Amino acid sequence: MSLFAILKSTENKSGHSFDRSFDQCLKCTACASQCPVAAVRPDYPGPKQCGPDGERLRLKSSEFLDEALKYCTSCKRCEVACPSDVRISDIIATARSKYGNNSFKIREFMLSHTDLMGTLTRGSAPLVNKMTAIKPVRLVMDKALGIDRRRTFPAYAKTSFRRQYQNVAEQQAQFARQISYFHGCYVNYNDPELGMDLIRVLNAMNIGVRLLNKEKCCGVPLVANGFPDKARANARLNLANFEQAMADGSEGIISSSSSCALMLKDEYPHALGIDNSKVKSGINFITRFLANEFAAGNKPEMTPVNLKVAYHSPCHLIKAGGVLHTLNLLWEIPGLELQQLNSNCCGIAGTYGFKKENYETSQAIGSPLFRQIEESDADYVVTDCETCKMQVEMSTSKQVLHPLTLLRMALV
Amino acid sequence: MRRQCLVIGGGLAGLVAGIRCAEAGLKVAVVTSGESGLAFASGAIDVLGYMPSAAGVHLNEPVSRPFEKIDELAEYFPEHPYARIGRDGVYKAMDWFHGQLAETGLSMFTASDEQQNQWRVTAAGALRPTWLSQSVAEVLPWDLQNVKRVVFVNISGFLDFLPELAASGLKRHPAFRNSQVEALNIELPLVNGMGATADTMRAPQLCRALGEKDFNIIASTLMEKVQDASLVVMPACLDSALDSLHLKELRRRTGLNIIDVATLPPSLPGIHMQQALQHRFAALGGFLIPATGIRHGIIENGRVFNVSNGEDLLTADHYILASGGFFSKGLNVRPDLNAEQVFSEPLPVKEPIFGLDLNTPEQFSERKFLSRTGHGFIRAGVRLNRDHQPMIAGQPLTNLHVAGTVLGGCDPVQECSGGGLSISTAWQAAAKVIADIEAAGEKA
Amino acid sequence: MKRLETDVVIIGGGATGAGVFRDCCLRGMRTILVERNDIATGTTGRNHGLLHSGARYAVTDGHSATECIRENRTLKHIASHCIENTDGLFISLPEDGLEYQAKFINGCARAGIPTEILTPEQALRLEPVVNPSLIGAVRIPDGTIDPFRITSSNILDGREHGGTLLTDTRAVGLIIQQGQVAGIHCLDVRTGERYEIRAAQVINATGAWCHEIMEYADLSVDMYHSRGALLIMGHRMNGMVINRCRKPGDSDILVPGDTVSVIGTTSTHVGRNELENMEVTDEEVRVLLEEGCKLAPSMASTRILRAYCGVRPLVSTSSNGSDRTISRGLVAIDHADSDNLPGLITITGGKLMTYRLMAEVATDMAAKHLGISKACTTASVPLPGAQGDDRANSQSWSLPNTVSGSAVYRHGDRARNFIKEEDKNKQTDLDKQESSPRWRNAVVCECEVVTRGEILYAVDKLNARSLSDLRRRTRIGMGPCQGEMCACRTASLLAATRSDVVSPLKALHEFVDERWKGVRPVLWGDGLREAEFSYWVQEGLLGLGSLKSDQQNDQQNDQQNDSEALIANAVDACAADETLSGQQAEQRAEQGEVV
Repeated sequence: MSLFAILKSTENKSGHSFDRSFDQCLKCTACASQCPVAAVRPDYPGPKQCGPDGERLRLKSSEFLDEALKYCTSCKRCEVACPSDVRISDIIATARSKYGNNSFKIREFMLSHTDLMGTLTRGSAPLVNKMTAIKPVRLVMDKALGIDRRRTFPAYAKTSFRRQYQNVAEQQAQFARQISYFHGCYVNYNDPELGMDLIRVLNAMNIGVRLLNKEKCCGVPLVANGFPDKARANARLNLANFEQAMADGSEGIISSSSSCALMLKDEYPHALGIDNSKVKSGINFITRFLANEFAAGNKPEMTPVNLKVAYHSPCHLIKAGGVLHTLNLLWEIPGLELQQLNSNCCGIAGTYGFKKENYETSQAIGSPLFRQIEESDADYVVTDCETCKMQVEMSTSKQVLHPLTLLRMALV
Repeated sequence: MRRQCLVIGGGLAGLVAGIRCAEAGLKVAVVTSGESGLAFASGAIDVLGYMPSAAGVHLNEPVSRPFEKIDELAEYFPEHPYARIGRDGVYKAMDWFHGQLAETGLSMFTASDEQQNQWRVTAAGALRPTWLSQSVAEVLPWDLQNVKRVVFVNISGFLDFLPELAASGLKRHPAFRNSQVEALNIELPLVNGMGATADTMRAPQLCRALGEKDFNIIASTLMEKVQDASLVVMPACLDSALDSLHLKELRRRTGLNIIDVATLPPSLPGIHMQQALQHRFAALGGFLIPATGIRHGIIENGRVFNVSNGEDLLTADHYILASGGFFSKGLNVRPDLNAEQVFSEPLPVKEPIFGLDLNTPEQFSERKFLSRTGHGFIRAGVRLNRDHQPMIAGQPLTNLHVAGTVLGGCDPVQECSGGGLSISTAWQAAAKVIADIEAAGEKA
Repeated sequence: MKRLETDVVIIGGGATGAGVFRDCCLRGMRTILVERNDIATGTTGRNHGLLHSGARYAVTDGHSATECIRENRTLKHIASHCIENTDGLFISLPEDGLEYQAKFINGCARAGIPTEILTPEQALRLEPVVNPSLIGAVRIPDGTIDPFRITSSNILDGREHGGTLLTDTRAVGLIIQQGQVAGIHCLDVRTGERYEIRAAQVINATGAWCHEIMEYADLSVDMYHSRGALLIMGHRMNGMVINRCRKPGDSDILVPGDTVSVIGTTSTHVGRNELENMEVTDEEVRVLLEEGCKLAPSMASTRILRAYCGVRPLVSTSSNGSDRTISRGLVAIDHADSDNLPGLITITGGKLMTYRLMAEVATDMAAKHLGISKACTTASVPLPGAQGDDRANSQSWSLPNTVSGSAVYRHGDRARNFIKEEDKNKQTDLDKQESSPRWRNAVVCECEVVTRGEILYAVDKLNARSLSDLRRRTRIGMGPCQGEMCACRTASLLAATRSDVVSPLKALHEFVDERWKGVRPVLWGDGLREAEFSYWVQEGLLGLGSLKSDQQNDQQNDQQNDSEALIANAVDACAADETLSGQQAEQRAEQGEVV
């Protein structure tokens, strides 16, 4: 039997499918020099030692698991820096959930169950917003839950996006082309207006927007906070709904959150081991979808937006290779003066920066970016990620817009 | 929106090409995938430190005036990338580069005579000829006379600077046989180190851990112990910003000639160089597109029509290929798992994006790893025709230009020429793009 | 001329020599071991590191199989820190059929080797890397053994019991007086000094090179030198040893060892003049990979770190037949009986698995001549490192698990001699006493997590004198980067702390070239990328090459030629010496004349 024949015959029945990308690590330290956590936390051995180096040891025995893995924020800058395509951040996250001790913690539960928290606050949003803005309440959250009191909590919207959508649902069905929108927790509970912007932009391109029958949190905060099983359950539910949507004639699934999109498209198979191959090619971050439409000639009529904006690329969008599409899109907006900010992490890394013990680290990581933003003469900062937006608005004097909002502003 | 020029690769060559295009007002984007070699480079820029060995003749004399040697080099080695650019071209490119850096706040120095090489001291105590350096020591002249006492000063516990090895290394150099060369380790509290110790840190972390108290201790220890040193060599971990303020302040306070040299990777001077170039590119209106590995190109009628990262097509009028060597995957050698003979011998070198024609030396590697002859695999690279165009099966591509390590044709590590090669080939590729676009504009 | 006196002198510092050394020392003999390079540099350091259950020989060589399973159990007891009880699989592929499996199980039963028949599904669950087209599997108690560590532990125990180790010391002749071997002539390869060691018993434990020592006494042995090539994969692909359930052949064992896996071996007959500086051929690499992929198909896409080869010291019983039919049994010759030459014992043949047994047999012979009746205890007394359970302890140290775990993994209970407890409340007297306690836990080699303390311990207590010696004691530079940065760090550490070691720069160059030798035969893919990166760092960034200018290169070559000439001269001189009459020689020796 030739080697060729063996490889062919075993291709599809391999007994295991764990990530072996650590094997390609050249020990070049590129990841270590880009890791925002290692830069400010010398007690964190860095992505190289925690990821590919550690993985070789853990293959000997799980006793080699290093506790310091918990400091990783999953920002994925290491993966972007890696010249060898090692999935460093995935390796760390997997090791944490595979070998680590996952005792239940109320704070991690609160921060990570974004959909549940959103549902609980429904109808009482103004009250919750006021509460989370009150000092004594923050102090209690700080002391009892370890959520840093200096942190601005995202405000909850009065009416959820799903409910607001009911008003336009009928009108959406009129369009010949239909696409499904995974709005995610943030748009639904905190920023429904962004969802409405997306609808306006797509409608201007003669595409109708549908919602999925049901959707749950994509899983990013669940994985980061040690709830991989819950994340897998959510993933299965979401994928089932995606498949249903495609079967019902939807062109694909779009997301306006760069982190959700990365999770749905790439991390379901990589980090959670869940097969999404049936729908993968149909899942897109909104800017990729729009840029492709523009390139194919489906461009809405636009008037000049005479603004100067500074673009911050979110870590997870960089990792997904999505900067290309957002830039492609922004280049198309007439009158827009666009400056690209240096590629620095803002420090929030999802729920990471909300935790009390990470607050200082989080702000230190973001400080070079904040400085650059303050020094720039831009009218607005533009970014694709909701938590980057929170962090930048909390830490600088500038307001942050989503690329979709800019596009909506350009619509005639 | 279509770019006029798309640069594939964000290392030294790619960024230089991008900067030159952006400076000329072109709409240009640089796509990168993974860090380049800059993050582990010395941060100095070499032009030519040694003539390559020809026909078994090893030329060990370091080159003193690099630009003047380029004509001679071209005569012996017509395939050498410098031969295509010529002495004037190389000088113009390097002078332009020096000027670009000056705009970024990163100070780079030539020797007092700008045609002249200077010495770079390494963390292992070797001397390497270089042209531009981030840290000059007036006391280390090219002819190396009267250097009485050299001290390699480390932060105690830090593993990525090798003072003891460097001391014995430098003693091997004939000019230092009679000098006093020694190592000194300074114990520091590392006030911003959050309790962590120097042995757990790489250079960037150590840099952040140093506080005012630490600099005070360094200064007073140097004053006390090595006041008569002709040269003090420290690891490059003093400054996180491009301006080298701490190093300058330390020199001022001690009155000593202090240089800081690149540590084992990650190297701060290399990272600073990268940051400076990225800032410059952004300031000129260029766009850097990270995490976008170009997998293949689509060719039509002798032109690159567009390139793909496996999912999306990227389109431009001109393309500059600056994808690097094996490390950066600009070239590769691998068993073909889909072939009948998986481990065929010998495995061929390939340029994976376009499948360009290559030059591959017969002798792929030498028996000794660190030998003056260098290695064949380093010399492998893209073959160009007389018009400097790359080819596929002998057919030239007219809108693809090649720059940097992927060109091969020499062993820049042995020659001490890596920086100059990347810069001048990229400068030339960008010049070609600019000229072509101007010509097309006139025609239109 | 300098002269040392002792009861026993052992030639050869492989596992067998080290085992004899320990055994002699434990039985109270005054013992010296001479080794021309460093310990475990010959066949010992160039094999699979497989702790045989004996199953491999169950069908073809029942005697070896029985020996193996007995020693397997003994070693698990005395050398727990060198061994992993991984168990092994003998898999049957479609092309093998299941016929051999039945024979195999019978053979194992005869030798007392426990077996468990598994379905393909069970085997895949236990060891997911295994070729999924297997049709059957048998589980047997194979394991892994670290050859460097076991040799070093034997040496350490011998030294702690009064023995003397002389590395870089070559036996260049036998002292023969009145028809009896009375010691050896030695050459210190580093200094060029010549001296003699007088001993009542000389034990020739030079394995594949044993004929060279025997020739000093005009004796001969019919050695069959079989060369075997192996490849080291970039990580530990498999948890269990994987064998093919068929007649033993090329490249049919994949052994997990520490952080890597090793695939081997080939088998080629080599002449006695080809034993030095062997290089792995392209054809060997191809065979190893093509056959190896049948055991574990993912090998095709796994990085290969290096290739190396060793030579099996087989003693020929017939002139035809391939080496696999020749017995792997040990050969012990008491030349007093066989050649009427008292004072010389040769121990050869055998294999790593039976090193202890070989040592026992040879030591018994020497003890009989010396009138020593103390019985062998090496099968029951654990080696240093296996004398306490520190694995549990290491978890309580206030150190990252990677650091404490790796130290204990390699040095067992002796790890406590170099790991420093950082938590003041938990510090022992040792932590407080240490004269230079700083940076003991600094990680110098990140791939294998080797600390500064471990390196200094190896230099102080384990007789490491160069970077390559340190590699054999600590695994420094054995990871994927092959010592790219840690070699430089270690060289600087040696320069800072020791004056009695090899010149750090020379050691560094030796180390780099030795690593490169193993990389060159597999220079493609990520290994090639790593090589380019190392070249940038070591030559471009650090300029190491220029620290050995061509002039010095030549000098070094000259020196090397010198030392070869030195050895040749020394051997000739000794040979000439033996032609003198015994009486003359004795006279000259008594006068202390330089010969």
